[in-house]
Amino acid sequence: MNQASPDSVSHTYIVTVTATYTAQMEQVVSSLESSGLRVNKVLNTLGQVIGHGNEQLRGQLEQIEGVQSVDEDKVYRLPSPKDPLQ
Amino acid sequence: MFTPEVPFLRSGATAIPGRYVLVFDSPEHLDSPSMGIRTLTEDVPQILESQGYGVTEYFPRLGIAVVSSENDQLNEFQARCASVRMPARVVPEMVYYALTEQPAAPLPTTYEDTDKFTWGLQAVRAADSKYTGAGIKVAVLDTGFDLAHPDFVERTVVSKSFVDGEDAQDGHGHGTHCIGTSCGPRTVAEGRGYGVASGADIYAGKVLGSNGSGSDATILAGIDWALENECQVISMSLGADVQQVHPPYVTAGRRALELGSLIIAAAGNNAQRSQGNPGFVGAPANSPYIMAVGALDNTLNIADFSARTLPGRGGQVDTAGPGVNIYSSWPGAERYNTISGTSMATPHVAGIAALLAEATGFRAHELWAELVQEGRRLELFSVDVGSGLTQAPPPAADTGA
Repeated sequence: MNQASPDSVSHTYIVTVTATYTAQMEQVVSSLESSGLRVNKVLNTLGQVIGHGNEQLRGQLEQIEGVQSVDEDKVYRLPSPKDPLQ
Repeated sequence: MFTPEVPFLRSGATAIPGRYVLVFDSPEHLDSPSMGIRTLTEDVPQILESQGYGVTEYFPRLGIAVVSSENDQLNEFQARCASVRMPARVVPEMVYYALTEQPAAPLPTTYEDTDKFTWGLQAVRAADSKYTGAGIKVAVLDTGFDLAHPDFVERTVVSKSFVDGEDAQDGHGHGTHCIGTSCGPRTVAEGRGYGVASGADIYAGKVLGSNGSGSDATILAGIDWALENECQVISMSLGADVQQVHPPYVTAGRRALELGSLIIAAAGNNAQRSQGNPGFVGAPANSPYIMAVGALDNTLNIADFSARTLPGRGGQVDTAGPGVNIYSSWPGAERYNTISGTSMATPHVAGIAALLAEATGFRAHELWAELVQEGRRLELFSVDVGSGLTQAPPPAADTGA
């Protein structure tokens, strides 16, 4: 695991856009970028934006108009291919 | 002599002498499309009583009376009704007997792999289903797919990797196994058939790397891609052992349903039932708009590892599928592998979803309801198996051809 201080660690965030704002994704994305989110990918069908930034950024993103939720990217791991239980 | 109308049933029912059913309605619905409530609650009882019939067996909501009567009394009654233009039909009261239809042969409770089919294909009754998922797009979001697997050379396969630095080729095996179960062949030149929706179009989205690991960023990108491609079924044999509902999947599941798709996910393998630990449904299967699948063994008992319903909305195990010792495709020279997990139960359900989608035309919520309704009930706790063992749609009526 990365032992760096929280300030410097880059966190990946899933920003879910409120349903009523998904028709204006570009606008929401530019607001997110202005707040400091470095956007990796815009999921237009789901109305979600994947990006990264520092730990403090999360609280700021949650305040943006049209943002429903901001969640940390969770990791999922399968067992080794040799494991009989998958 | 009064002759009541010919009974509409010619089968097991027999008329009771002297008993008649009076129906106050116009058979053609031309003159009086429906008799008014006032007529049914006031005029009809009056006319019944003036004819000397009791009203204890008159049902005003139905406009139907059952009376004991002589034949000439009936003639008089009909004339009386005609004189006030009240449409009334008279049929004999019948005695009905329970239908003597042959009960369906009991289904087996134990299955084994045979030379022709895996036990799972037999248990979900896909082995001989006339439906193959033709015209249905099934997305399997996993470790990719062995694009060179010989059992799939003639199939429609669309693949895409969402993992940085990796192509869609399966470097793990899990994805190829899940695609085999959901969409693989039912007949194989050498060996047994193992695929449920053998005619579906395959969308292989690589959201987990060859090391078996991935994150929301890749998984959600895979869901987005599947929806963009209008996949009606999205199978996700992945999850984390966390009880908290993860908000991005609430939105993803709901959006999928809105767009005519259904996400089906593994309940999780965190139980050790033999040690007294029933486990819990993890994320993302615990999201309210994502269907959670538990695993059964070949005696149709709950698998030791299969997670139990998590209290709270969305935490239910919704249905179950074969998930112990499941034979399916595997990358490379091995070509096949037999493994266990709710990961293996999930693609059985996804394949059945494709068959039902083909057979019924149902999508999204309706497809979910159909999957649950058609499930074979098991004498197990619903918190473990939901609606039971997922089942292929029964074939259309046999034409005898």
